Amino acid sequence: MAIFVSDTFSGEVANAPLEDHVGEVGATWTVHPSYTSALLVSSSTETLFASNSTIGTGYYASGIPAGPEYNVSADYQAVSVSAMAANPGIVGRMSTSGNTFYMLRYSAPNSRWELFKAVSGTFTLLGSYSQTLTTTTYNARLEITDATKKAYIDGVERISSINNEITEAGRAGTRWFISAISQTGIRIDNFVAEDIGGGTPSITPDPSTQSQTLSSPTLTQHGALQPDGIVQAQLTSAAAMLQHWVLAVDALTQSQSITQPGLTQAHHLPPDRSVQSQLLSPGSLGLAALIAPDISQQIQLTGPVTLTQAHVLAVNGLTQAQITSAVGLAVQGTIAPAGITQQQITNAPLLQARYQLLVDSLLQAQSLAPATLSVATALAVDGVTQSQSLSAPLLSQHGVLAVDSLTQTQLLQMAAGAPVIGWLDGRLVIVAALDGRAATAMAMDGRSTTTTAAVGSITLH
Amino acid sequence: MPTHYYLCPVVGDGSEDNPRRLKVADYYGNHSAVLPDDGTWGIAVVADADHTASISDPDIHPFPSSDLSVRVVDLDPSISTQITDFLSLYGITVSEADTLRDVLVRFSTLADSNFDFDRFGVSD
Repeated sequence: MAIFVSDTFSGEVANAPLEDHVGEVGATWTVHPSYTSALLVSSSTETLFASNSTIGTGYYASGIPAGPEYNVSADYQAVSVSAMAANPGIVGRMSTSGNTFYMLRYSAPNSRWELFKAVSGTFTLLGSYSQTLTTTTYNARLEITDATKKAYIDGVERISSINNEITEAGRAGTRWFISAISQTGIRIDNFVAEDIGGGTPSITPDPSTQSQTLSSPTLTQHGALQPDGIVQAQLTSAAAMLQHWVLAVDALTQSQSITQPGLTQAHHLPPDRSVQSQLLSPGSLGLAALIAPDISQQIQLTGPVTLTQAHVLAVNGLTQAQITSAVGLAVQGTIAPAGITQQQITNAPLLQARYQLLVDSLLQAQSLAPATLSVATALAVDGVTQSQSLSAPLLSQHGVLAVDSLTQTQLLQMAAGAPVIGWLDGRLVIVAALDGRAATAMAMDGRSTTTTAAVGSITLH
Repeated sequence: MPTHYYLCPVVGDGSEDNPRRLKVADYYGNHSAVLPDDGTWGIAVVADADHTASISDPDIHPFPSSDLSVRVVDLDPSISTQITDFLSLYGITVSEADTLRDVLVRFSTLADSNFDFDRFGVSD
């Protein structure tokens, strides 16, 4: 589900009117034209509280829902039951012009949660749930779908209505009736509005056995294309994923993205238990993206992948990774750390700074085209049993072709830019390859150990 | 807590202090209501340990049984007639086969065309 409003009411140095406060996501607040300003963001408690008395007040947030079905939730902090002098409400489908919305509020005088609709200023009570609050925090959620409007208190459905008179998506917001100023009665915190189903998020929810998206979905914020229990997922054209997206999660056995997804920030292409993941055309991954983390069995990338920053192409429990065209890794990227058994790169990977192509428990690594390793990079580290570079790797500075527990390393063509310097198990190592037929590895730890290996094979001691 | 269904008048002028609501909402905390946009009667389902207040209110008509599978014709004749007469005011004719659920659904659909009995409930 995509979050389009999120506000923890934090960051103010002094109590601030809500309309002057800006929250984390889509949370620039506007006083509704039917009301006047009466809420403050507390700098000390980082909550929302009443600042005016005997007044109704309402605000809507700037975040735009993807459609008319969404949740609005908030934490209600009952600070002092006896001092409760406000009926704070959370609202959805709020018109930005007319006094129209659905509202879940706590009515202190009636000691109950109330579900309302308001249409052009006419309030109708649709249902209620009796609860006397104690001095604790309650999470209230207003779930708005066309079929029902439901109120959940601490995750339990308490009120339901089939009314659907208000159909426009409107905005999420907050609406209070205040009988006295009080920061010690009841306060609101952690306001969140998130889309439900349809539109952007959760195109195919669980437990789908097959999901196909044959044209481009645009996924914007905090969405999941296919969560839970999917057996096969195909994306045959480009998905644009902007922020915090998950293409497929949990128990996925096969995932195909046939054209390029643009993944920018904090994305997971198929995380968790994916058995096979294929990216058949270029993918662009921006920041902190994971293509296939966690117990993926196989990952294939047949088109160029550009990984720019802090990327992990595949992590944890991956048994096979194939990349048939160039991979560009920029800063602190890792192609396949932890538990990978086979890694093939048939086109040149470009590794720039602080990269590790393969780490941890690698059994076999093959790089079939020139690898350019520039600064402090490692082609394979830790537990590698075999590493092959079938064409010339360019190792410039602090590069390590293979370190730690490596049983065989092959350089079948000359490595340009020798010598190569790296660290092996705490020791500084220099590796040199001579015209594809001989290579020298030298470890320097103050005892100046030097080893020369036979053609096609270097063993580091 | 026992659940009861009520045919109930709409009260309130629509202001925030006096919202449009079914009259049972003034007696009980746990209720769900189906109200027409401009009509004067609706249906509520209420969960409460004690329904005495609403049952004794002459403006409110409780369904005679919370078991909605009961046929209207099988009710006490005076109650059956009362229901039939009330519904006839809304153009609803009660047939021999009609259960309380059937007439509840028909009346509720008049109040809200989106009415879905399976989504009409109350938390206790």
